[in-house]
Amino acid sequence: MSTRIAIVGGVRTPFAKAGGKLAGWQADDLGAFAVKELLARLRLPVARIDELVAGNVAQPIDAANVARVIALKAGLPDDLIASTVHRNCASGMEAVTTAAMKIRAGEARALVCVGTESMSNIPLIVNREMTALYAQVARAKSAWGRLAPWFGLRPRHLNPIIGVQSGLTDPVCGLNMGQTAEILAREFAVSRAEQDAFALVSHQRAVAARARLAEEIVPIPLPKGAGMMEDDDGPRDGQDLAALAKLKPYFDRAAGTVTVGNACPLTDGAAAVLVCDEDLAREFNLPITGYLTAHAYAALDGRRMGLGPVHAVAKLEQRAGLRLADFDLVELNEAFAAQAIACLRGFASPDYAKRFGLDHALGEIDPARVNVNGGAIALGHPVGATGLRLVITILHELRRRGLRRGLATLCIGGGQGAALALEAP
Amino acid sequence: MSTLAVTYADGIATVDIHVHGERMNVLNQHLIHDLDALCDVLLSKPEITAVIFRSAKPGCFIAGADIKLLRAAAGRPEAHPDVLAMANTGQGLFARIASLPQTTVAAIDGACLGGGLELALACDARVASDSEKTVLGLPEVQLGILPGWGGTQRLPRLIGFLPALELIVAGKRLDARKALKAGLVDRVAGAPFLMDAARALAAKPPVRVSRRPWWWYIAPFAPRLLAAVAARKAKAKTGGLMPAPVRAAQVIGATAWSEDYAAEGLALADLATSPQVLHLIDAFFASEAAKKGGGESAPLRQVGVLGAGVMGGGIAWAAAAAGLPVRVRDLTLDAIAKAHATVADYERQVQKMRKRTPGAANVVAHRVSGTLGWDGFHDADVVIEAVVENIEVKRKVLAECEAHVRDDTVLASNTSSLTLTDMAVALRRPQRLVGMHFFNPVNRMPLVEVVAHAASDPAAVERVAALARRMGKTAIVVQDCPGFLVNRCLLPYLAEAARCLEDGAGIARIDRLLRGFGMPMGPFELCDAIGLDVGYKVAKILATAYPDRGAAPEILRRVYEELHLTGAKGGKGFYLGKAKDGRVNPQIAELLPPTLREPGDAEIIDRCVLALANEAARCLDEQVVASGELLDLAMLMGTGFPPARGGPIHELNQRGVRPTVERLRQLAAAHGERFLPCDLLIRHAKTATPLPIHPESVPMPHGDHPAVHAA
Repeated sequence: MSTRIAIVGGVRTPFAKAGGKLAGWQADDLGAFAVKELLARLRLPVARIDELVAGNVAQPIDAANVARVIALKAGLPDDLIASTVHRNCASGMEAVTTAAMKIRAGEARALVCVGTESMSNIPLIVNREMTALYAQVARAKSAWGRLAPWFGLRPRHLNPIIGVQSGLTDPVCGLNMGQTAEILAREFAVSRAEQDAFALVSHQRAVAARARLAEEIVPIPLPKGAGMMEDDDGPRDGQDLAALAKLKPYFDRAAGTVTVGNACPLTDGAAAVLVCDEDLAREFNLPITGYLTAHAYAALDGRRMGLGPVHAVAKLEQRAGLRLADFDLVELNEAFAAQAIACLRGFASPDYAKRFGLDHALGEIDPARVNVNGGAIALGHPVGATGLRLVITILHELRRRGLRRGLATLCIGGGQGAALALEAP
Repeated sequence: MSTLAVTYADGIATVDIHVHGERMNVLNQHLIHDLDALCDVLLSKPEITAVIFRSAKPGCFIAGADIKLLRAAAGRPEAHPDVLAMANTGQGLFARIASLPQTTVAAIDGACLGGGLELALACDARVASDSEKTVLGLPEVQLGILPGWGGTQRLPRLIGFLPALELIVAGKRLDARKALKAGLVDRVAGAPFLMDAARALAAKPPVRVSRRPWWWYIAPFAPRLLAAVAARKAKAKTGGLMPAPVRAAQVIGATAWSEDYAAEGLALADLATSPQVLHLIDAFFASEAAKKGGGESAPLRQVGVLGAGVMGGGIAWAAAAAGLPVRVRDLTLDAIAKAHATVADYERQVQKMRKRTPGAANVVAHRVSGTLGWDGFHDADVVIEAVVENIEVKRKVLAECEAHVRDDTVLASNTSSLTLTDMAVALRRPQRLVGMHFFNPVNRMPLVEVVAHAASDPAAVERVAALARRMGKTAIVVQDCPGFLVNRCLLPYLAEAARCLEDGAGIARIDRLLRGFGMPMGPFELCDAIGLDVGYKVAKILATAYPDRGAAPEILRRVYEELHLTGAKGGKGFYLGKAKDGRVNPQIAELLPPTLREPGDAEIIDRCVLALANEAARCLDEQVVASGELLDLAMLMGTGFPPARGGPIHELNQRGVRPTVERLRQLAAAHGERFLPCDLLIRHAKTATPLPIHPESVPMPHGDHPAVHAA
């Protein structure tokens, strides 16, 4: 297999804070906007597209196999197959690596890859007691049978299960994602001040990068014809340390360090690229944004899921021989400032590297090469979309800087990490 | 050749109806004769216990009576006895079918309208398939007549007095499920299982209870009263020009449950010989003709729209609602947002009518996307330009567009007043430019003028017409001239109304008179709705193009240039606020010259209507449109010209060509040469022949036409 995996185009919707401007669109709508704009910019006959693969975490209850819904809403033909992939926070990347594997297996030549998430639309769920009550009513055969259960109705029945909270809690270790970040803050001694400073840089870089980010963003209509949205609404212009310092710890009120200011916000957004074999891209003169040269997923203890990137990068080195120092730019997802800083320390630690049987640290990265246009703390983290955004962002930046190699890596709730090695054309 | 094929099995006679030489089954003389003969046969076969009527033509049970028979009588009082005889024949036949000893069942798959439904009503039971093509109804009033083969008697008995009144007076059609709910059919089945259901009904016909309402016995005046209310409502809706719904209501009110079939027969004969029926039937034929495509062309896959204003957004919606992906280009995101807002608004309107679920509306909205660049245009089959009405801008936009589309992409311009010839000079391939004139609001106006200029490729013209039809519009091909067809005829009418105003007739009075003529709104209400800026601009362009029809009236200029009024969109025009409320803007009176002689009612109507009709005759003479019937149809759909009057060409024929020419000469002497009759009128006045309605004066289209299937 000599053909390279080409990544063509690469657009995303603006990222909007959950419950905000894009709350009226579901994940399938957002994905469809991204796909439409991606394909409008490519002169590829739709008949040459073999499949649409979408990564999405909280799949809309009324859009089972959201990938298929996205394909049809984007105007792709009825006979296009579509599948949804799920690797939690790496779902957007999973779409790309799945596509790459299908191409390598000779099953497809061109796939539309989507990452999409509407965290606004993660539902509240009726709790078990209430569900049981409804079931009792539904099963009843008599009028009295239908009425009687309601006398057992208590206020606690009305407490909903908050879907987004459950989704962000590891059901095995029982910890919320924020609590896993607190663990890393302690293990790697990441102070509150360091976290806030990291968050500030994220905002400052994102604000400074608005024009650059606009190159990857496509404006999309707001729900109900209420206008267009063209920018991310996360990055704050006047962000300062004093404001960040005022925030109370969110996950551990008493002794915590993680606040909503140094963690990524809940966000809505979607991204799309075309992944195809290089020959096809050349045949149709498609704009190649870059190549996927290697990738690795690695797993670890769910309580330390934030260190996933360290494990994935180690695996990438062992598998593909790529050292951290080989990469000109790095996109390291910022789920939490504490987690991102812990990863940087993990990369630099010879002790931690011993776990992987390595006799050297993975490498120390110059922070100036990491997340140069800001990260999820400022831009937001629509979980299914972020993985793909990292790929798109880093490829655009490599091109702008005339650099060659980029690493997109992210931690995955439940205890995994992803690392994608990318190359400019 | 028989129109019926009967098979006997298991004691059941299955009757397949197949009327030869027609696209749809229609009750013509052959079918009526064969059904009568069938009754004789069935009476001699006591071993047969049930009869099932079905159609051998897919998608159509019986679409109604043969309209050709009707048209022959329309407008001819001397045909009164013939129609009466025809009514009696049908009534007699259906009475025979109703009294057959066998159980009769109608198995309905497809259109079951008019006489077709009256046949089904004469059966003991009815089953309908739930296919999309299945519609049931008695739409006769839409053609200016009423059900005359027992429909006014049998329908109330089956579904009740008020539901029947509503169905017949409004000419409503029901799909299978609604028909089941109304009690019009006894069962609904999937098309493959239709015969199973029919056999089940034949084995066990439903037991019927009297649907006569309880108040019938204590309030004998109630039926007539309720019918009068329905008649008044119908009258208000049609401006009193359509006698059919009123008469139908009266007949039902007077004769329900009376076994009096003579009343409906007499009413049918009275109505069918009136001129309105001729007009309505011709309009129906014309609209059927306009629906048919000119030829096969490659399927449309994608559409581009330039300009995201009200028209651009509306056009984008129409394409998206027709299932086509649309790329809209404009210069700012705010403009793009407006197109999305228009789409959202029109979809909300569709949803309100319960014709779309929110999910389906979302899918339609997704077909529209916008860009500030040219991305997404490379694969457009047709690009429709809807930018500002300025020749320089249009030329620039079209030339730029040409660089970003395929060589075979058709460019369409939604211009209303500029000529295609002027625009085409900007293109490398002028033959791909076609006019596609939509009317505002796009979602409600059924007409699109497809404009061919001298160099237009006929294939491109057909492609644009096909796109318009795909959008559910009636496409009428017209030749390139200032104002095209509709505005060219409408503007003299509006200008004449303005001159009547200058002569001292009041705004409200002129509007009232022309509403009385049958127009849906008066000329000044229409001006306010169009927008006085647009109206004045078009009036100026046409006054320059056709100088012998007089300059644009001074009052229009002053209202726009001095008072800066724009009409309904600015909240103020000839009327304050909504024209419906009838509050005339007092500012207008101050602009008017002193009244010398106030024009009379008949003069006002004649001046306005004949200004329009004279121009229409001129368009027909210049072959701006292919035929008189298409011209009339365009005016019915584009200006709301009263359907009962058939359109300007029918109106001229109805008035008589000779008297009209004389009247025009009088008006020319009194008010100016703009009223001089056109050559076509003068030629026909000399020979005393009516203006041609059908192409090449062929009296009637033959063969392939659907029957009562009205607009």
